[in-house]
Amino acid sequence: MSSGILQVASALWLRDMIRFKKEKSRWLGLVSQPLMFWFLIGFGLNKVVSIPESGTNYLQFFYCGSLVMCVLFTTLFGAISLIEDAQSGFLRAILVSPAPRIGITAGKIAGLVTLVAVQIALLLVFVPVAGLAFADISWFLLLAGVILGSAVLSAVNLGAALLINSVQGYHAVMGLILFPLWIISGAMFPIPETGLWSWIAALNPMTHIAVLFRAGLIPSPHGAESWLHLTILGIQFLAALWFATAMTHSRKARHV
Amino acid sequence: MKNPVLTLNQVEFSYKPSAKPNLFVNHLEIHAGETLALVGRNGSGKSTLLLTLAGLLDPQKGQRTALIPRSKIALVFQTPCLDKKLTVGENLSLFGKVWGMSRAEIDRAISKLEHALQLGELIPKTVQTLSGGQQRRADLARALLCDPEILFLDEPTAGLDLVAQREFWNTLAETGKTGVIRTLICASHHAAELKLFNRLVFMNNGQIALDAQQNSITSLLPPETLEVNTPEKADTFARDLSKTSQAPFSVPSRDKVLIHSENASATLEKIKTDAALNALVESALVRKTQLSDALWHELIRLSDISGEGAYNT
Repeated sequence: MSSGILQVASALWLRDMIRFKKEKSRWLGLVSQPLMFWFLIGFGLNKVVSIPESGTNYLQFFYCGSLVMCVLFTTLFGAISLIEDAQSGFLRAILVSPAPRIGITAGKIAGLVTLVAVQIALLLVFVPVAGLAFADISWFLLLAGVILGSAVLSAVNLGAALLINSVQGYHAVMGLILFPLWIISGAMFPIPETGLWSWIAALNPMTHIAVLFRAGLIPSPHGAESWLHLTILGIQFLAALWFATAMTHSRKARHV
Repeated sequence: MKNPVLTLNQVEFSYKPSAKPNLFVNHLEIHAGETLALVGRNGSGKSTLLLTLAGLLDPQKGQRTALIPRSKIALVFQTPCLDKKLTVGENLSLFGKVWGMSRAEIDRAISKLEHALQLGELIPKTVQTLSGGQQRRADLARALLCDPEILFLDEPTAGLDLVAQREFWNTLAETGKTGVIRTLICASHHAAELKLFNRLVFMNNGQIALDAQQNSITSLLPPETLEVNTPEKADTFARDLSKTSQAPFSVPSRDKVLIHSENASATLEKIKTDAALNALVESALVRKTQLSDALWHELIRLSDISGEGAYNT
């Protein structure tokens, strides 16, 4: 009897899916929140804000930003379930098992990535409303952005949730760090390409997610650069996976 | 004697690294087939010792040696560890997979436990709809699913009413008959539960104060006990008694004094002749000395306390 990474990950992924299916109130928030942001901010600023040299209006520009917000909020709030698991003792019961820790982390990440993917798929219904065309979508870049981007943010948020180990504290700290990072990721407005901004942007995973979403939804001659952003996200994912897995070894995770 | 399945050597553990150790164990061996209870007051270190033995706490100093693989160690905690939004069946399936079991192995294990734990009606039910006692039963099934060689129980009946407590231990005894559990280690402060264990380890201030077989603990006291009921005057009675008698006694509550002797009837007659003592007595009962009496007496002796209610006798 030995548990493999895939078996553990799939069991925990299935658990998250069953829970999601049962918690119908969560379905409502799936698309309503990002849609509301997009409609209110996008339509509100569309006539007064222009995006120079992009060939898009603000509604289209912020549509991509709203999708990044989906990734952020779903992974941010989804990671809270791990704090609840730690405090209820469920996680402790999992951690005393012979299951490889990376399988436990991978299962939680897979659950959050699936939720983000469902959310983004539902929001894609509004592509024509944004004035974009399904025929122009680069599905590979969009899918890669969704999977890698949500995997990075899931791992960061799960690791932080175990480190902070308090729902209120986690909300306060992560809201303080991640929400400003979303604003300066290029989701709301284009960011300068020089100076300190460019360094922060390079380290900020949401910058790369925003670039990939935009490249996936809006045809651009700079498609080749997408590989650079995918590579950076890949490296960030490995680092975040290590961080989240290392945190499962902490006593806080075992709640003892 | 066979090699111990678990050994602690010179183990020290502290929840805050720079602080005084919360646990210090010079040497402790656990052998296969033992049923061992960790006894002590709240904060005495019994849960810390249990979690260290189970490998859930890593000692800062010393060595923990386990001859049993992690997959054969199971724990039941003070509160059930199941996902309350899932059904019992979904929980068991999830934990089985996490333990590396195949679908067929999980089904076999559930059907094996179904009879012993009366799980049948619980399996399709969502955990949060079950009573406290039923949740403990389902949680016990979760722990036993992997057919553990050692089962750790950390105050498993905390918060349960008396009927549910009895139900839990009866269920555990039932699984014992079917040979599911081999070695049992339990932290508890319910004297009634401790009758089920053949070895008792008393904890005090994070250290093992006494490690003895159950029958030798009972024989530490004389064979008969006089149970004197003195409503709200037990301390006064005990103080006066200590001036006139050498018999060992203990005060488990404000209303009761237990006097242990070779002949409890003779002790009662002697009390009746003392007007001051006799005036405090509402009723008295002569009975055989029980394990709970010995436990209570040892606990007071080892921890040098005079408080009440540390044990439910």
